[in-house]
Amino acid sequence: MKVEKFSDAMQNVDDRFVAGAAQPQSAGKTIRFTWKRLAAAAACLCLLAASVFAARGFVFQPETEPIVQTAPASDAPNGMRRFMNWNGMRYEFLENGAVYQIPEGQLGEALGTLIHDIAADPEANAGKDLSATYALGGTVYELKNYDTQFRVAVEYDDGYCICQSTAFTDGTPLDPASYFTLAGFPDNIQAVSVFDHSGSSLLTQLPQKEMEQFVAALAQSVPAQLSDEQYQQIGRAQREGKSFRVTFDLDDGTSYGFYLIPSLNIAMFGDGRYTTPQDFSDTFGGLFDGLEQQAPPVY
Amino acid sequence: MDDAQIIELLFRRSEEAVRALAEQYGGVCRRLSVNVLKNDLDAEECVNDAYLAVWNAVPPARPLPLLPYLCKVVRNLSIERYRKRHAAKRDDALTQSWDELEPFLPSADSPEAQTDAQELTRLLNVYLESLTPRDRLLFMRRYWYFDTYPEIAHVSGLSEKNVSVRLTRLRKKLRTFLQENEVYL
Repeated sequence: MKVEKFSDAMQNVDDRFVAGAAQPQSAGKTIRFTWKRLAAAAACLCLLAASVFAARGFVFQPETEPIVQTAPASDAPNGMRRFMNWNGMRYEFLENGAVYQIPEGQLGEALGTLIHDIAADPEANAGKDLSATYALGGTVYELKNYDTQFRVAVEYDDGYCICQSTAFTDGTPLDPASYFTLAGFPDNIQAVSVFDHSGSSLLTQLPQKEMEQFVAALAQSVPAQLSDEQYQQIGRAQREGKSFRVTFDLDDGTSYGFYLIPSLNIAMFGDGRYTTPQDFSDTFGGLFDGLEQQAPPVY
Repeated sequence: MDDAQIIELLFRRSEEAVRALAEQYGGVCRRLSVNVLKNDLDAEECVNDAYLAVWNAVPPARPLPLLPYLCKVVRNLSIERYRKRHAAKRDDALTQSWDELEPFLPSADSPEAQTDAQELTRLLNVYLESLTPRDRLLFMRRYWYFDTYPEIAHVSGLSEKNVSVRLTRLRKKLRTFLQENEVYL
């Protein structure tokens, strides 16, 4: 087994590394980095950020090859949502399992095969790594343009599906700040579009110059602890046309979508509900004020 | 008592040396062994076996500093015991740590193409040297001491999610490094 050989070789690494990693624990202390080092790092980062900002208009930006959807998803015969678990995270199949043509250069290493069928035995398999409700037997691949904690690809039936993380498998919600960083936001966002709740009618697009601030403010959202009454308010807002589907249109042609209810300061990223910061409402609440959408039909 | 004094006691064949070893390094050793074996009794036995191994090796050996030497003995004995007792069981911390690492290790086409252990250790030293102190700590705690993410978060002062993100990047960096150096396992 490769990893056992690796571990055997690790056994004999330099004593300095073994002792260095043992000391914080034996001393019962947390490693602390002095304020001087932090200040120096922050100063470097500021300089770097300023340089990048100043130079971005002049530097040639390589174009990202687009990922093209080649077939829509078929309906799930068992009615289950299409998702899979890998490496401690839950991923939903983008567009419910639509097939994409992924440029050859963007496909990375194989990460594993989906072997556990959640539909067959939800209780036993739902928490397992490499379990899925769809594309069983499919191979999970890294996508080079994305961190694997944001998106991976699954090869299935001679095509590729894209899977996007929605939560941790232990139920922990995503942390928007870390998640947006992992996803490469806002650098890879070309436009922010606001749709009606169903996502079928484009209502407006955010001015380009406000995109960065929009994303930064949303990243400060925190997981919401909702009461029954708040859930009812969300339902009411959705019925009354106060809930919007927002998409970050990415430079590879795909998009990242989530729901936003500005009147309640609620955002829904992946499987989680989040409270947006006051800053966000103050700055961007007006964007949604005049937007009209037809109330969704009641069945 | 410092390492030199403990070595001196071992050279004099004083059982006080074993007590000093236990007092000084018992905590680190037990934790390392429990991480591998997930069993306090087995870990206790392994750590005692490690003290015995040190007792037998010193003299003539004079391993200074003692901590990495002792930890290596404990790790080796614990993994050996793990392999014997847990051949079929694959749900513990050691296996989880190995499982997440496996996809990032380049495979050899044939046994002849495999990089030998000594060369791999040399390259791992280079890789570890190239990391920042914090990243090195994360990597060593996960793949040498087999700590869980919450334990590493506690030791490093980072959040669990941050630990997870950084370790993912470190595994990718390791893969690139191994591929660049034509290491195949």
